Amino acid sequence: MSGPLDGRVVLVTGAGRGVGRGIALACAEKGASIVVAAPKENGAETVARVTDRGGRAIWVKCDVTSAPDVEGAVAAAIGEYGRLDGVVHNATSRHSSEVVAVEDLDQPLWEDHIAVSLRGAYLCARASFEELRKTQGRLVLMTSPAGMEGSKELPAYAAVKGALRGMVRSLAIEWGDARVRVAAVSPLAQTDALDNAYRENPGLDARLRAIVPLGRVGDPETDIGPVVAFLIGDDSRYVNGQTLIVDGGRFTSL
Amino acid sequence: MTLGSGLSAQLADALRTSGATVAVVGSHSDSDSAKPDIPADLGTSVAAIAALRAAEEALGEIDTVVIVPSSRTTLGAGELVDLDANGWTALAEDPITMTLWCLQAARALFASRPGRIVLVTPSASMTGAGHFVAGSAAAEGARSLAKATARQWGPLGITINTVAVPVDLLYGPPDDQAPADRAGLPAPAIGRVPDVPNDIAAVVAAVGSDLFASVTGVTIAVDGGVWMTA
Repeated sequence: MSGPLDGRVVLVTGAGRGVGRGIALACAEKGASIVVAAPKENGAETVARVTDRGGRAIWVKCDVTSAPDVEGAVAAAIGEYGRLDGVVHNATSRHSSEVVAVEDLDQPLWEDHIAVSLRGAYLCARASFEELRKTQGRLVLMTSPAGMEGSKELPAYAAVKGALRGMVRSLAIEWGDARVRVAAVSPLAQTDALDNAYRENPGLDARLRAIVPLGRVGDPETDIGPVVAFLIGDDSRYVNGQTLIVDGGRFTSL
Repeated sequence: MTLGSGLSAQLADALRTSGATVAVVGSHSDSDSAKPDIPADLGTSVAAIAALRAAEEALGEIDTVVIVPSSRTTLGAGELVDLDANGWTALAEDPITMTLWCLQAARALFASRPGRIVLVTPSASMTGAGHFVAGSAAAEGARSLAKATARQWGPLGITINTVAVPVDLLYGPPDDQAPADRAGLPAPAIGRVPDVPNDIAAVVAAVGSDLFASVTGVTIAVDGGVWMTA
């Protein structure tokens, strides 16, 4: 596996499945060595997929709500590969695709969303800044259409995904002097969570295919992952503070 | 009715001058310019509901709830990497959580009748500012929550819109405790920075009125024409 990310090291949270796994595989395909930061054994499965194709990857058991775990994942990247060029915070609450009314959102569910998505982003940024500064690397926070246009079904998910966009804008300004670039990616991808949404919302599949100009929902590895790989590579060196929408053209408002 | 912060007191005074009956609900700190009319801890859904019910008892039926989740009391300027976990929770997470509890309280208040909710946030979160990462996260999280809620409550006739204001109107002049807007921005197109009593209050009043009955989930930036990217 070789390409524009040869010699680069990319850490991806929540890379045990779905979009996170797709990002890990795509970056590996472009030549990067991968640190899969995931709390469960499916992180090792992502590693196996990378190494089976000739790439390099390690799995670090990592709960993104734990500062020691996140710092440990960054340390593992340095220990194994000697550098860190990209950090992609993709992990979300395991309740992300659960439909809930705003008036019924209780403290435990709310706290779970906040802890994984938002506090996890803070911990990833804080833990990785010094290493990213050395390589003039990139922090990518995965947001969502829910965080841009409002989500009727997923208000807590929408809130934290919106918050991440705010982080990206201000962090890009704050880290500019250090030449560390920051971006958000908003994907529309076929994942277990979307499959769950189809079950909750019959007709959603057909509606998405109708509203997406390209007529399909994106693939995590071949549609979403390459955009993240682009953001970590040199060709995106002047893209900063932005949200890249990767959804086949579904959302076309500024 | 308005909630929380020094800006709230100015806004409340301006709205009263225009004839509205207003109460400021929230907690008070030494850095706020005025005490709230109804001191209340808005840190839980139950407390927020009780606070708004107390306000309704004092004012009569409430038509509009104005939520101001960020204030100088929840602020601390500085770089993200120097912000400890407690500071992050206080500055980035708690304002969004407070917004959720206030939304739930407004819903309980309005029940099955139409109502207006106006969120007031700093426009700097939409465009970014240094030393404001946590504040940006808080404001954008609140705005995104407002949009989702607007979608859910639209059929009930409850509209939720955001008014975004210059950052120093919420936090005071830039110093080591307050963020500054980005360097190099154009001057306001109207030739002056909007103020609270004359400019912000008028827009909040309009957005919180039935003039905006068919508008929900939008953000109006009241910055005198600095950013025009929408």
